[in-house]
Parts: sequence; C-alpha cells; structure tokens
Amino acid sequence: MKSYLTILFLTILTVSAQNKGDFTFEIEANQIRYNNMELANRFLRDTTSETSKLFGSKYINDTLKKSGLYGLSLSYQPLNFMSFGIYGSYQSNRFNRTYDQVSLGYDISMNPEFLIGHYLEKVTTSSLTIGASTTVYLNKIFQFEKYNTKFLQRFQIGVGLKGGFSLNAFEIGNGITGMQYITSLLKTNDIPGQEHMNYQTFRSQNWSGSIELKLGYRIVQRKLFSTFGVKIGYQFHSTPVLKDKGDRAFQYGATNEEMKLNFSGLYYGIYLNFGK
Amino acid sequence: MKNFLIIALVFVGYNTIAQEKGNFTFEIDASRIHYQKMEVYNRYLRDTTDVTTSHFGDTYLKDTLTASFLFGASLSYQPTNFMDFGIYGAYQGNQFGREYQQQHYVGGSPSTFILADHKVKIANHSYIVGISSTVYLNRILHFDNYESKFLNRFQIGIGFKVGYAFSSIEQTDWIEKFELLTPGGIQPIIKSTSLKGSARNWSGNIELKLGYRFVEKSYFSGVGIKVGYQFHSSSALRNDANAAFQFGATKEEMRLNLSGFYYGIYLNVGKK
Repeated sequence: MKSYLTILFLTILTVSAQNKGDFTFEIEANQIRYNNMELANRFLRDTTSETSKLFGSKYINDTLKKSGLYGLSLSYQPLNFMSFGIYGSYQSNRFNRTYDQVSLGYDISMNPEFLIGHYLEKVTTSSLTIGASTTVYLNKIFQFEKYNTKFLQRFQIGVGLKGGFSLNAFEIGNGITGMQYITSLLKTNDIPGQEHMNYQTFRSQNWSGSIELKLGYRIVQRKLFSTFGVKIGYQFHSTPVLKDKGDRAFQYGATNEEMKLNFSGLYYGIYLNFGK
Repeated sequence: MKNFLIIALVFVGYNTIAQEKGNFTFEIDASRIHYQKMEVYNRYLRDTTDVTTSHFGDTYLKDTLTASFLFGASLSYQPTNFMDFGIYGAYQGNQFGREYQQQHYVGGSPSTFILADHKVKIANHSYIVGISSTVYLNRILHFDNYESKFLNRFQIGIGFKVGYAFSSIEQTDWIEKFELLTPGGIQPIIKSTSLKGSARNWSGNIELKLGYRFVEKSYFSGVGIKVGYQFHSSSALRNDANAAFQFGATKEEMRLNLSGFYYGIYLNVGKK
C-alpha cells in the first residue's frame, strides 16, 4: 500500500511538472554528531548483563556519538526562490563485540573435554526517514544573478526545512562464530557446524525534522545544471521506547532501563544536485 | 563515504556529458513477477520437521511463493535518439504469517508452565541496483516520420538490465500472549527472536516495452506496459556468524531463486 501511495505521489509530482517550474534531484552525504545518545551508550558500556560480563573491560569505551547520514531528494520549484519536494534519508551504525569462553563438555565416549567457544554480539542501530522538504533560495531573493561576477551568479545559498516520518530499529545479534575442543596443551581441533546467530529486533516510529543551511556552486550552467555544495544543519529526531513484535520494550542493565534512541544532532556534509 | 564519492563522481561525469546533448528520463514501474524456480523456498514454507515448524501442524502445508510484486525506478540518459543508458533500482519482497500454541517450562519451585500463543513472520527481501539500457525500435523504424499522431507518440523498446542484488530472509518468532498454567508461578521473561540469512549476487533482465507519450511539450510523459524475464539466483544465505540459513530434517541450505517472467506498467517523465 505504501508503495502504491509513493507511486501515486510521484505521478502527481511528475505530471504537474509538465506545466512550469524545474525539477532538482539531489544526493547528499553528511556526518552527524549525536547529542543525546546516553541511553544507547549506557547499554554499550553496561557490564551487568551476563553477556557483557564476559567482555571484561574490552568494550568499555564503545560509544555511539556520530554516524554517516545519507539522503536523496526530488524537488519541484514552482517559484524561482523556493522549492518543495520529497526526500529520504538513512543512518546506521554497528558494533561487533567478541569474546571467547571456555566450557566443559563431553566427547562421543562421554569423556570430559574443554571447549573454546568464539562468541559474537552484534549491535545495530538504524533509522530510515521519508518526508517532505522545502528550500528557500536566498541568492534568488537577493538577486545574485544581477551581479556581474560569474562567481556570484552561480553561487547558491539556501535555507532548507525537512519534516519526515522515521522508522527506527535497534537490533542485537548473539551467536557463535566457531568452536574448538582442546586436544592437548596449546592444541585445538575445530568442531564444525556450531556456527549460529539469533537476533532480537526492536522498532519504533516517530516524526523528525531538520533545518539546514546550504552553500552551493553551479559547476555546469546550460539547459541542465549541476550544483555541488556544502551544508550544515540540525536534526531533531528522538524516538519513543523501542519494542519488539510482541510489543515488549528492550530493557537492559540492573535497573531494566527501557531503550530509546535520540538521533538529534548537528550535521555537516556535501551535496550534489542537478536539474533543468 | 567512499561509496558516496564514487557515486557522486559518476553522477557528475554523467551530468556533465548530459549538458551537451540528449535527454534525461526518470521512470518508475510496478510489475507482477511469476517465479519459476522457488522450490527451495517453498520446501521451507511447507516444512514441518523443524523445531519451530513442527508445531504448525498441516495448517500451512499449502503455502507457496509463486508470484510477487516488483517495483523499480530508473534514471537514464539518451545520447543517441534510438538508445539510452541509465542506472536503476528495484525491490521485491514477500511475507508469510504463522500462528501456533506451545507449552513452555519457565522454571521456579514449584515448576511453572505457560501456554503461549506464538506468532511467526517469515519475510524475504531483494534490492537490486545496477545499469540499464533500452533500444527504441520506434526510432530505428522511424515511426516519427508517419503522419499518424498515434504512431508518432508510440514507443517500442527492448530493455536490458544488469544489477547487483542484495537478498535476505528473516524468520521472527514471538509470543503474542500467554496463560500461566501454574497458579502463583513466576513470570516468564519473553523475547522475540529472529533467524536471518543474506546473500549477494548478480542479476539481469531483458524486457519489451510498449509505451505512449501522452504529454508532448518541453517535457514529455509516457505510460506503457512491459513484459520481461528476470534472471536472479542467489547463493546460500548466511548470517553474521557465516552460518547458512538451514531448515528441515536434512538441514537444507536456503537459496532464493527469484528468476521469472514479469509484466507490468511504467510511467516516465523526461526533457525533450
């Protein structure tokens, strides 16, 4: 159903664009610095769970404080100083944490033997946002194109606003990447077929928004144009409690704290667009 | 970041060339694909020998994945009037639901048991990104020389696509609700757990497109139908521990074969 609505929206957008105005397609890559990721970071450094006790102090410095933030948008410019469009953006991070554990087992003849298990915990956070965007072009309002300087004519200053719906996920995978038994001092043999992985996924949805300043330069100026620029902005994006399919919250630590992700933060990056 | 720079570089080069001549076309399509070789996946859907699937009974024995929707979008550039080249993305996915009841031992003293209502979701997804090309027969056969408006606006194309596919499967099992069978027993800790597998492979398509340009100004818009065949077969799907996604009594490894015939509609917009 969502796919059909997207197609319908794109159809209306493309057909309406037959009459006037310009289309711009934009891709961007940013780095965002999260301001309020305390809950996720407390979990990453938590040493009270049975698994994290086995990490020792190996991952005590794990911190989620920044991420790549990638996006693309398609916008339509009905007025020469303003555009409206749709956009999508994605951000994701993962932490792979490993530990080895020795346990006592029995061989096929029921003789005791020592086993070494290689364990993996994979923690992933991700957020996909789809929404509407608008940009006000200050270079058009201040009529930069009337200046004789080629640089100013091609310079672009925009203030952008975005509002979108975000689908967020927090996933923990736990498993064994290999197992061996100790045959004698410093000698081990692999036990094949022990590898496995189980995942727990917790999701949430929320509205998010961002405001940004864009500084660009038209590198090609003919019937079509291409603009390359830099942008800086702030993303407002705080999730409610993340829950699994059974509507149960992800809890951690000695106090069973419930997990929320706060992707809010300052971002900066580059963008590239082209249009007619 | 490295991937973005490569994409950006290709994009800049592509657009710079596009300033000189030719047209851009943006296209979206929705098709129905009929899979030809989904035997492994269908064996998995009907399997009742696994730890989880043994509880299903014969309720889901007729579940089959034979057809799916296939959505795509592409951006192409036409350097000569009879041929275009572009980049494209496509998505296809399906999901199946299961329900079963199971009694669990929770622990405690005296021993606590619960009767749990389980739900299972089985989902497969495949994303493809790649390059595409279309040869326009209406240009080669000079349909635009005819006086008929219909023929002038009629489009016949043969399209080729080659892409890199990211395929995955996920089986999630959770307890929707439960009944405490031991009065005064301990409360269970309930988790939703998933098994996953993913694989990457090359895929390809060949298709015939029949379209009509219903708007013909400085921009054009066309709508049409297409029929084609998708070649898309994955290797064994594996998880992060590099273990294959296995099922059934013989621990068969899961592979997705999304090859099949498809037919659908497309809509494009471009600059003349």
